Amino acid sequence: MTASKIFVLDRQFFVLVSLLVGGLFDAQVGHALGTDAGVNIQNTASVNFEINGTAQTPVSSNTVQTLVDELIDVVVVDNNGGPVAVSTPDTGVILQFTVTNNGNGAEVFRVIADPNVVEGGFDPLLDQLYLESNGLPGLQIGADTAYVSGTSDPLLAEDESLVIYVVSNIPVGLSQGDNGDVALRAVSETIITQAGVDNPDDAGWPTPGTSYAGLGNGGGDIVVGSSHDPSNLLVRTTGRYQVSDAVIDVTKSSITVLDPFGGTTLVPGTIITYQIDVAVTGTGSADGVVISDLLPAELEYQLNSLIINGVAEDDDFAPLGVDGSGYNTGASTVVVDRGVVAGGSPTIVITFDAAIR
Amino acid sequence: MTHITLMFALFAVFTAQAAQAQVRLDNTIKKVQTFVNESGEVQRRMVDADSVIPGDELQYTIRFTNHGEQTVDAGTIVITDAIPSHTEYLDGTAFGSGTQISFSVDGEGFAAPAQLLVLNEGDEGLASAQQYTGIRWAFSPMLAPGESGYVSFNVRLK
Repeated sequence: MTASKIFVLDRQFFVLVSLLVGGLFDAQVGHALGTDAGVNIQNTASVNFEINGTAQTPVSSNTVQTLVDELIDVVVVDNNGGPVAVSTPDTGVILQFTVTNNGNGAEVFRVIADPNVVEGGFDPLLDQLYLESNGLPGLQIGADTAYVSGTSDPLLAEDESLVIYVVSNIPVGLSQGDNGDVALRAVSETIITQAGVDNPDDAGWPTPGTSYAGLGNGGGDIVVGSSHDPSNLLVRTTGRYQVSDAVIDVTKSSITVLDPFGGTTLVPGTIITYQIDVAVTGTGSADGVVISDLLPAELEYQLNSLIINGVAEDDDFAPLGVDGSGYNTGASTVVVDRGVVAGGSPTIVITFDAAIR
Repeated sequence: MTHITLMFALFAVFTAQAAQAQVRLDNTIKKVQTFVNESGEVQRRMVDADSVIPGDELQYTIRFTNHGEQTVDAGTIVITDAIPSHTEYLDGTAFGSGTQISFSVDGEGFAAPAQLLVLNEGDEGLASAQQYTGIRWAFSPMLAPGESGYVSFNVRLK
């Protein structure tokens, strides 16, 4: 999945753009976290022995067995890499989270966004939650699923992850630097129905080890896992909006794909042309805007393919070259240094090519 | 008539085998639970293992008893068990008073840990406890009628 990370440091903007597009290489990432719920663990021993020098028929023990219960564990991660810059007022600003079922069975989770977080300076006005559903990175309203609590609660298989988008509006009249937090939590439907709670702050929230008989995948019990421990809660995390008088919006896409046979399959040798659009909005200006795009090991940068606003850019960059833009071979990173960018300036369009190894 | 005769014959065979099987094995499984006692110390206790979750530690105990009327020869009792699927052996937990304990990585050849070699990414090296698939106890003493002993080992559910 593509993740755009924006760090705001003393009004210096440093932008990192992940290159993975559309789950191109995600298939290699999954791994099992534990024995599946419902598996029967069996054991039988045997013995050989002799009497008066004569080997006797080997004897087997009784078979003991135990059933693997379903463990509920879910982890919510903030994908934003820091505060998301917004204006005041603002509309349709997005926080992105990933919910992962770290348990050992399939489970339905309810997703709950809470804008009334104590640490936040202002309460974002929640508009709508969306579930990533069309496989394209980023939110596509109309294509990704608008979430309806209790109706479109996602069923996640063991180890499965799901990206959640929280779309909010920002109130008017805030000050530069004000923070607005949204806490996102994923709560198993089993806990909601059995414990009658959906909030770790509520009395009755089940502690790790709490079990519900016979409700697990495969017929065993369901056991509440360590991710629900209030002292190390993983089922909930917080994303942050931050008011800024200059807001950077970075969009990345692959604009053409050309395989060695003239088609569009993703095979070694296929050339992908990427485009990164960088727009600065607001009344102020962003200083020290540097866009860095780290290429994963699966991709090889194509020399002299970097183009900025339609003008070819050489691969050298400071301190080696004459400017701050180019390709850092050692770090496998495309770097574009634009310095000071005033709000409302034309969108900066960056393109380059990379080949699949 | 033919069928009835055959059934009697089979019954006789089974009875003869049961009489020979004078060493019997009784396998039990327990879950190892850690808890904090009144003094604040972490302690371990055995509880029933009707069900388990990934990460649980299990202990298998196999009791062997001579139910026959003849003494079993010294040095001839060999108990073999497989590390159950979905679990990994916990190093150093195999126990058996009066036994030589060996392990296997293929369920066929058994050797002491210092002699158990495997190929790890092309390089031959000592097998780790997690790679063991079988365990064997060779009991040295003789076992007189009515006598018994036990062996045990612990695993963790993956």
